[in-house]
Amino acid sequence: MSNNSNPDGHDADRGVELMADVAQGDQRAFRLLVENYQAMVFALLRRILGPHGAIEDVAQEAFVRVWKNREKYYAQGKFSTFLYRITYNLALNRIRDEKRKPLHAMPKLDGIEIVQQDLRSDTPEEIASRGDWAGLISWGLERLPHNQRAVLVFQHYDGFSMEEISSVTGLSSAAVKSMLHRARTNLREILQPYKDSEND
Amino acid sequence: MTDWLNKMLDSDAPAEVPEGFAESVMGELFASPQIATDQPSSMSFMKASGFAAAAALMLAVGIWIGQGSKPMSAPVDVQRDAEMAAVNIDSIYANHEMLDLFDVLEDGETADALQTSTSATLQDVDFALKLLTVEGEK
Repeated sequence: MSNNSNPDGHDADRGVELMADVAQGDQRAFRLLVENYQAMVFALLRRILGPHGAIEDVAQEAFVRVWKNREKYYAQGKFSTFLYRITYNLALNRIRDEKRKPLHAMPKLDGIEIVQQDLRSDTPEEIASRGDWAGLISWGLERLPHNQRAVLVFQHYDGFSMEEISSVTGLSSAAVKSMLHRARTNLREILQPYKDSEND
Repeated sequence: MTDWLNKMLDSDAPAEVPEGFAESVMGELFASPQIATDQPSSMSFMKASGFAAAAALMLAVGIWIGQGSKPMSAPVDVQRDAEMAAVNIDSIYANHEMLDLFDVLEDGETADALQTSTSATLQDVDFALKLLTVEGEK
């Protein structure tokens, strides 16, 4: 069972309809588009970037890209897939940029680098002790390699088929399938100790 | 497959969208929108205005100098004024510097065109005089 937040769920494809007007420069239609799809974009970004990531910045950039490229858009499939592709690529760019930055630009004292602890994050033990499963999942997802994290999020939360995940990520269906299996196995291993303590 | 992992995954609530997010996106794109989008056409208009102003100024100065500061309505005697006009045609282009001061000659092509024009041939001078005559007869 998945928490499908995809606005395309019961509509034919509201996004495609709105994009037809957006392509003509209709700002009102664009605003409706943002309002219809912002929750989906935020949900994806929080799971891909983690709760402390630059979610709002990337979400805004995703919609700005949609507007700026509105004339190039043509309805090839679901609008959500198109938007996911943009959002996912921007999220990957952000992850790459963050990795390039020195994690903690702290001065060295006598040549010994000071390691700064991320004060925003609780330990998994603390999260588990509060019975915060959602927090544990969030913590666990952050420990997965980003591509495994992404395929799992697309499959579980967005209910995407292998082909759709393949279309968004640019991976082959076989690679998606294998990555999905590894993602579940790894996440299970990461969370197992805390899940047990949760049940104790 | 509803094992403990799926249950845990399902416990993760959807992210909350910050209030006013849609407004901030619209603001980012359309707050100073026309400045950004219309800048090229606005520049074109400026450029066109510049050309028009330069042309009008040169025409006015040309007529005025070509007529030897006589009243604008007075007819032009082409034979008598030919020599003066031929000499003064250079001073028309000397006004290039003044036009520069008014920033109406930003465009390189216009400047080049004027530079080339300063080495006008006799045919060019003749043509200019004909123009002045027509203008004077009006």
